[in-house]
Formats: sequence, C-alpha cells, structure tokens
Amino acid sequence: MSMKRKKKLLYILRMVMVAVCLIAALFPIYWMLNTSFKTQFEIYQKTPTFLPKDPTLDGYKYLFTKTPYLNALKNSFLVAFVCALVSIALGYPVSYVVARLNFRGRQGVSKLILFSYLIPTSVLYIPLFLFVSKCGLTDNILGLMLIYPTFTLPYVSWMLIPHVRAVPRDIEEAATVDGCTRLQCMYRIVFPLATPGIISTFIFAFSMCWGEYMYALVNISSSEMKTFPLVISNLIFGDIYPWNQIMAGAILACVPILLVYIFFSNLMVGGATEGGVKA
Amino acid sequence: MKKLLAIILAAVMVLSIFAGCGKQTETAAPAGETKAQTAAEPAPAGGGSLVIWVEKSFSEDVDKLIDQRIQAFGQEKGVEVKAEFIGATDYMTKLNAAVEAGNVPDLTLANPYKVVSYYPSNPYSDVTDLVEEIDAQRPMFDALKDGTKIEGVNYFVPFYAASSLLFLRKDLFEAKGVALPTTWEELWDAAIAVSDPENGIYGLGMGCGPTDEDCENSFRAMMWDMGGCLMDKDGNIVAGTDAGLSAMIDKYVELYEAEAIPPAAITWDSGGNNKTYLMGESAMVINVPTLYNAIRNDEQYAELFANTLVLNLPAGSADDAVFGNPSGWAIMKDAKNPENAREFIKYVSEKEWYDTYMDAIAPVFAPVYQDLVGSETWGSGVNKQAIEYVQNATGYYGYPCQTLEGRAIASKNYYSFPIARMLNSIVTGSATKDEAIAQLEKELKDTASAVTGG
Repeated sequence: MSMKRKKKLLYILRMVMVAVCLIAALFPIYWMLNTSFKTQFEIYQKTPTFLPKDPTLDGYKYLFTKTPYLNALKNSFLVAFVCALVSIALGYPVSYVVARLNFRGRQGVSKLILFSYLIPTSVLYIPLFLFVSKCGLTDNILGLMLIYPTFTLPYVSWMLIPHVRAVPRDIEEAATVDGCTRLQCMYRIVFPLATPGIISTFIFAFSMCWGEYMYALVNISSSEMKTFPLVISNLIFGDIYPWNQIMAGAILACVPILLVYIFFSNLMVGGATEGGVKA
Repeated sequence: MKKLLAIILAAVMVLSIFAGCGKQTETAAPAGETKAQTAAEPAPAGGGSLVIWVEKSFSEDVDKLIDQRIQAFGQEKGVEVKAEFIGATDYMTKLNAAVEAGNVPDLTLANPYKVVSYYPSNPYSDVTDLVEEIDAQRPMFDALKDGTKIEGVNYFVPFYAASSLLFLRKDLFEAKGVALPTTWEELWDAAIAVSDPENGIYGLGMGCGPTDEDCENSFRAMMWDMGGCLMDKDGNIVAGTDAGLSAMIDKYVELYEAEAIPPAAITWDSGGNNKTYLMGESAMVINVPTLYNAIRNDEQYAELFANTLVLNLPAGSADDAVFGNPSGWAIMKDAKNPENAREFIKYVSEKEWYDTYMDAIAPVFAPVYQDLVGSETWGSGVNKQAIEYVQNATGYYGYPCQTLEGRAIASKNYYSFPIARMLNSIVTGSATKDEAIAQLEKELKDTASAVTGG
C-alpha cells in the first residue's frame, strides 16, 4: 500500500470515528428536539418518526404559559453562577496551598478534599436540610447557595490542583525576586496563567449546580423559588408522561449552559506559559 | 474585557443576593404548580396557619380543584394556608427529610402504605374519632373506613381511591370472535386467542420491567386470585412454597412464550402498559382510568376510544381480592396547627363540594361514600366500574397478613417491585423459576431483618 493511500485510509478512519462520536453525542439532543415539537399522539405511535409529522409548539407554549419555567431558569442560573463563583473564590487558595506549599499532611488534605467530594447526596441530604432549616433558609434559593458548595468546593479544589501545578515554579520565583509577596504571586502571577483551567472548572461547577435535583427537591417548596429541574419534574402527572413538554424544558435548559460556555470559551486560551521559562 | 467581565459578575452577584433574600410577592403561581399565600396576599387575621402537602394526582385538573378548595378554606376561615403539590416519586423523599428534621407539614395526603412504611416510628396522628364523626354523617365504604385501619386505628381520613381496570379493544375481540372475559382463566385464553404477533398485535399488555409498578400490582391481584400470597395471615414469609405464586409465574411465562405479551414488556416501566395500548399494540391492559381520560380527551384517539371497553378485573378462582389504593388526609404528630388541619379535613368532606369535586375528577378517582353508588355520575359506564372496584378493594401489600410488622415488611419490600423483577429474570432467562423465587424470598427475609432489627 502506497504512503498516499495509507494516509487517505487513515484520514477516512479518523473521519468515521469523529462521525460515530458526533452521532453518539448529538443524537439524544436531536431526539429531544424532535420530540419537543411532536404531539402526544405522535410520540405514542408504534413507529417512531425522525421528524415531526405535524410540528407543534404546544410543549413550549405550555411551559411558558402554565408553569413558572422562566422564573425557575433564572433561579437555577443565579444559584449555579453564584455557587460556581464562590467555589472558585474559595477553592483556588486551597488548591494553591496544596499544589505549592510543603507542609506536613499535605497528601492527607489532598485526599480529604477528594473524599469529601465523593460523599453521596443520599447520605447528605437530610443533615444538610437540617442545617438549612436551622439557618432559616428552607424554601429559599439562598439555602441552595449554602448547600451546593458542599460538593462544588471539593470538586473545584481538587480540579484546580493540577492546573496550579502546571504553572512553572520558575515564573513564580522570578516574580518573588522582583518583589512579589506570596499572596501577590498567587493572584497576580499564577491565577492569570491558570485561567483556562479555572474557567473550565467554573463551567463544570456551574453545570453541577445547574441541573441539581435532590437538594432542590428537599429544600424548595414554593413555586417562585423552584429551580428548573423541579419545574420539569412537576410536568409529570400520573403515568402518561407529556414528553413534548418535558423535552421542551430539557432543550431550553441546555441554552444557558451553552451561553456560559460560549461566553467563557474566549478566555480559555492555552499555552500562556509556553516560552515563559528556559527549557 | 476584564473590566466588563468583572462588572457583569458583580452585577449578577448583587442581583442574586436581592433575588435570593426574599420570595417574590407578585408572581402568580401557575396552574398545577405550588401555590402559596404570599406576603402580597395577607391572610385574614386570627386564624393561624396551615401547611399542606399534597401528593400530585394523576390529573392536573384534580390538583387545581383541590388547590382552589385550599385557597377558599384560607379565605373563609381566616387561615394562612401554604400548600405544596409534590410528585408521587419524590413525595416520600421530601417527607422523610421533613420528618427527620422535625419540620413537617401539618397535613398531608397519605395512604396505608405510607403509614406502615414508617413502622415502628409512625409520624401520623390517630384520627379515628374524626373518621367516625364523618362516617356517622355520611357512611363510608367498609373497605375504606375499616379496611384502612392499622391495628384498629385510622391514621388518615379516607378521601378518595384509585381503581385499576381492564381496558379492552372490543374491535379486536369481535374480529376474532372472542367472548369478553369474566374470569382470569378466560382472560388468559382470550389473550392468546386475539394475539396476532405477525401483525404486531398482542393479547395482554402486562409488563415485567424491573421498575414496572403498575404491573407489580396486577401480578399481585393475579396471585391472590389464584390463592397465592407472599406472606400468610400471621406474617410468616411463605413465598418459597406458595402454590398460587408458582401457578401465577407459570401462567405469565406461558403467555409470554406464546407471544400473547409484547416482547418489549421486559423493558417497561409503569408507563409501559399505557404506551402499548395507545400504540394499538395490545388488546388488553390493566390500568388506572388515566388511560381512559387520555383517549377520551384527545381527538386523535377518537377511533381507539370508540373501540375501547372498560371492565372491572375478572373474578379469581380462589379469591376476588383486588389491590386497594385509597388516599386520605393525615395529620402529622408534630403538626404545629392540628386544629386547623382537622377543620380543613371537615371542610373538604362537605357533601356539596365533595360530590361536585368527585364528579369533576371521575373516573380517575372514585369516592369513598356509600350513598354515591348508583348516583347519576357513578351509576353507569366507567365510573360505575371504578366505584365498584373501590368498594370491593380489600387487597394491600402483604395481603392477607394481619400483623402491623408483617404489613410494614411487605410495604417496604413492595417498592423494589419484587414480583416484576422475579418474572423479568425468568422470562429473560437470567434465572430459573426456582432461583428467582428463592431470590424473592431472600429479599423479603432481608427486608424483614431490616425492619425488625433481627
């Protein structure tokens, strides 16, 4: 086989792999979109249709006119944004300390962060509900803002450690020689260089809070405080699910995540430290 | 760019703090959603407050009517009422957290299974006197008044009950010249007779997916009617040797292998039987009357509706027990406003409103009062079938077990849908019949150990 032919074959193989991955990733989203425009009658037909026969906006109309969906999206956004931001603000110093400072028990602290992230929601939801009750913050999104960092903070701290480590120590040392204090190094030197990692961690932390269900279910009661997963869940009556409404809600819920990604992706520029120090 | 970003972030944070610090006072609660009396609508003075948790029903309309009544109670009695409608699947999670935290609502919708599932720490108050008082004014069905007692005590005031009916495609029966079934044996024969798997028609839409709650209930009715049970009257676990259970398994496997049941039935959840009927795939399904409402209220199902017959479940060879599914108002032991809760129960039991309410929600739920048998609304058609079902529904998780401990074990075990899972493992070939029964018995014993601490 000639080299040219081999390259072409490899190219085709790569494209096939990409296509398979794209289909696997995008088909569920396409199916959600497709279902959101169908009538209940069409959804429950024996043969599924790949495009709606009689497209309808009924699912979306119901969401906007009969449920507090928009308000719930706003609540979810506020909770997720604030929690992700607070988690970065508090988690970054933790990860800096673990990544940069040498102290006894550093490995233990590092593992403790990971373990605290791994505690399952089903174990924590009652104690955290008790805690929020004592704080008088049940049925309030502030209660959720208090709870969500219990899983986003360990996650953020754990995820940022390698990003901080990736910043060459030499740059920090050079800054110290130029008169930077440890705190200045942390925020003026390392933080900007770790920005791509911080942004991606922020997006993941945001996503974790965005779709969270269990804590919101237990803590929130009133309509005006509900987050969007609760509103979507409330669409279900009995055992004949209104899939068009549910899928419409799910599709709309993807939009803010995409916007957050698009907004912050400009800041995710790699290679900031390349060439910063001699090899 | 950085400045802009900082400004945006700061603005969002400030906004979030303002938004989060207090409830919005002008947001009207949309239909079907939680509706709380807010600061903008001050409650009439002097009546205290009342927190009600309502498990969402099978119908949005039902919930709207209850919500309206709740609000009317608040206005009329001068009580600040806060109500929340919670989905059935999330209800216990939320209630458990509230019970643990001691932050319970005053009043909830409950059923016997919720009550016994808390054994031995029952969080509900004894409301036997209130049941007697209401019953004296308007007698309830025995199956509901006495049948829902737990060791002689009513822990909730029966309000309505769901039925489980046989939906049947009369066009398919007529085409094959098959008579309508009146016994389970006839139903099984009919299922085979009307099946036409080559054309995608199956006789009986009864699934055995691992989470198929609807069919778990149907299997229990089949088992009881064949003289079977998982526990005896004294609460002894007898599943391993029970002939009725064994016969029920054989019959289901026979139907599945004869292609009288859709092959995909092994993957269904509790919506599977609805879906197969709406798709026109199954000639018979057993379901609550929500299915009736779904085909009645959508013009696109006009043909299916015209071809549908709704019947009560067939008679059994050894027993006629069908699964009772009542719901009623329960006052929590830690309620802060038990008197308002009692007043509310009387308020929703007032004849005029209650009858209008039941008329509106028929046949999804049937009433609990004897005098409605044969009434204009409940005297014919599907509604008649529904009220007859409710009147005679004596089965419960653990039936015929009489002990509280046994019923608690059965209720806790039920939520893992053991019979559906057992049948699933047999028809999919992942276990033999003996292995599957042994596994079911083991799980039941494990639950018993967990409940009794033994």
